[in-house]
Amino acid sequence: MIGELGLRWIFTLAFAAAGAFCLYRCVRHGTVAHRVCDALHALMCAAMVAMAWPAAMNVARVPQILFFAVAALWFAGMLVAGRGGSGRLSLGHHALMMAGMAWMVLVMPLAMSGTMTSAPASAPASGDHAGMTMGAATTMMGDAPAHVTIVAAVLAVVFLVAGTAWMARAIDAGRGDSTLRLRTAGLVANAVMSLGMALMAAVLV
Amino acid sequence: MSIAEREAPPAATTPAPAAGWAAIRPLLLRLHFYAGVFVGPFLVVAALTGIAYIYTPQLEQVIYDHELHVPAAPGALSLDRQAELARAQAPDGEITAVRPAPTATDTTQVIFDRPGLAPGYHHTVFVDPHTGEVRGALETYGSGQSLPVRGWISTLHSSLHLGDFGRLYSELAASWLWVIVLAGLVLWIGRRRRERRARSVLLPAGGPPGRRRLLSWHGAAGLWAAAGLLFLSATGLTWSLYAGESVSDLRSALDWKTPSISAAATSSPAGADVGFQAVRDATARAGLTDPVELRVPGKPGKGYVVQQIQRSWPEKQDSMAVDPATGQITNTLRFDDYPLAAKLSRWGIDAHMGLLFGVANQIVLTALAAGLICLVVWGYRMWWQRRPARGETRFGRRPVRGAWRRVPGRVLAPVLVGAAVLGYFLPVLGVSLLGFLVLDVVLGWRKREVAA
Repeated sequence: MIGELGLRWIFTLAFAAAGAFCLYRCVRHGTVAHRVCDALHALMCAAMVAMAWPAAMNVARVPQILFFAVAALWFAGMLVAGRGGSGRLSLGHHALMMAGMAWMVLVMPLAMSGTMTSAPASAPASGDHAGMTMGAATTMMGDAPAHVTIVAAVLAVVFLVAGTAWMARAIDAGRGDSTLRLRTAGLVANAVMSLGMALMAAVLV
Repeated sequence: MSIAEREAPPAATTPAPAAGWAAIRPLLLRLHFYAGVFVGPFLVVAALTGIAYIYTPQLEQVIYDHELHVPAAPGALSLDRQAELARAQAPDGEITAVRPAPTATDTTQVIFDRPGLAPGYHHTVFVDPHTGEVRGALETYGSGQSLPVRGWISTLHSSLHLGDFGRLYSELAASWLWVIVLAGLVLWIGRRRRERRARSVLLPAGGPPGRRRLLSWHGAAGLWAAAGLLFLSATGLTWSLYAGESVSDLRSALDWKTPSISAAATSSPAGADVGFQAVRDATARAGLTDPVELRVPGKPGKGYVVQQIQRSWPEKQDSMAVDPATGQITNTLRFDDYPLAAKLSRWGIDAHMGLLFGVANQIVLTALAAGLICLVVWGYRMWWQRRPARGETRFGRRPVRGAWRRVPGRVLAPVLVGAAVLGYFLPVLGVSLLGFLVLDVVLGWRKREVAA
């Protein structure tokens, strides 16, 4: 769950857009295997949107964990089945993303055992510009277990690097385009999903 | 093959990205130009009102001379007697603090909370400590006890008297200032690095008047002012409406918060109170020198807090808690024991306000603000000088579009991710940057349509 409302909405809109794109491509383009990949990503986006909101915290977790574990196996299977070239790295990334989803659903209640609180803005602080106060402080009360924090930090860094790399490829791919091409949009969607995963993992730190 | 790569990459129609400085420069130039043109007026207003604010301590001494100063005389009434005399002037108020006269020619300030005052404002009664004469009463602001003229100029500097909406102007200026300065620095140093001559970087060029000479003044002055402007931007953001929250969160997360003294009293029977004078005497004996402010216990079970209030170098910010029933000191917090980050925060705020180093501080800030105004004016002047000699347009040429297409993805992507993170934590920067980008895209489409 993302405590800060503005960030929650940005996250929601980003994943809704990425999910809509994956769904569109699932319906319109590709082989059966490609469509399965897109369907899995669309469902992952939907789960991420739900995970950001408090109302979805009570949704049954076991089916979600099983689903994302199977999805991770699917991508790992594609990787092992020998898809060569630059796709190997991205298939590994997708497998890790699905495994990361399963892990986040598993540990979310542990990580969210604290609650976000906002302290009121301090009375005119030592700064003293009339009409201005130093900002309110938002703090996380309670701590996640150390193992959750460590894994979340590692995942946040890995997905941040991966998301940035996807974005770099999207920029290079779209450099000469006057309109958005399917390939470029796909790279952007991957960047959004990966950076979103990094954000959600960072929230758990 | 992954889902992103199923469509074959386009044939070689994509222009190869430039490398190094050639790729970065056009992007930085556009950023520096558009941000400067857009934020320039706000920076000028902030600089002008900032100069006015810097000199308010002297202004207060002149305008409120009657309230602040008294003829020197031997002896003084007790603080409790002075508070009593002040209370008669504000019967509906509640005393929250007392600032004893630090010298024989100063008045004692008795600070009240009264119904109807805006948040952060106090009603302060000024008492002659020698005779008990009430010299006047003023509405003051904040823990710095800003008198009305300083409060008015301060609000002008921070929000143009437009409330929270007005605070966006100063946040916009502070949010973009560091971006403009850093982009300008890189452009200036990068431009001159081929010449390998320090003089051309550090000093403006001579020669006939014109855009070239103006650019050298803009660049060299910007270089000299850069560190100070970055400091003003960073410290200014701590007061801002939205980015200020991020700064507070960051300080909390990193444990950089200013420590506060615990005023819990252990032995106070209800109603027992030794009074202001006994509290001040006890803290003075313990080495707490003037100037100080005595804050009354906020609620039962709490003690007095006596806090030093000198904000010029060397800062005096020690504080002591005193049990109101016994007059015993229950806690001491020394400024020397503050974490370094809290000290830096204190010094940074006071330097920004022109208080830390007195007149020298005021002169440096005035020079910085005047320099900033010159930089903005020279920037606009250079734009004007770039206008075509012929044609209908009245404006100067803008940096060319499509600069991002020449920047390699491995460079641009981290920049975009970094900008998104910064834009979140500095929301006014983020939203205005997004606005720039949307406007730029729309103008680009329109231009292509017209061309077609």
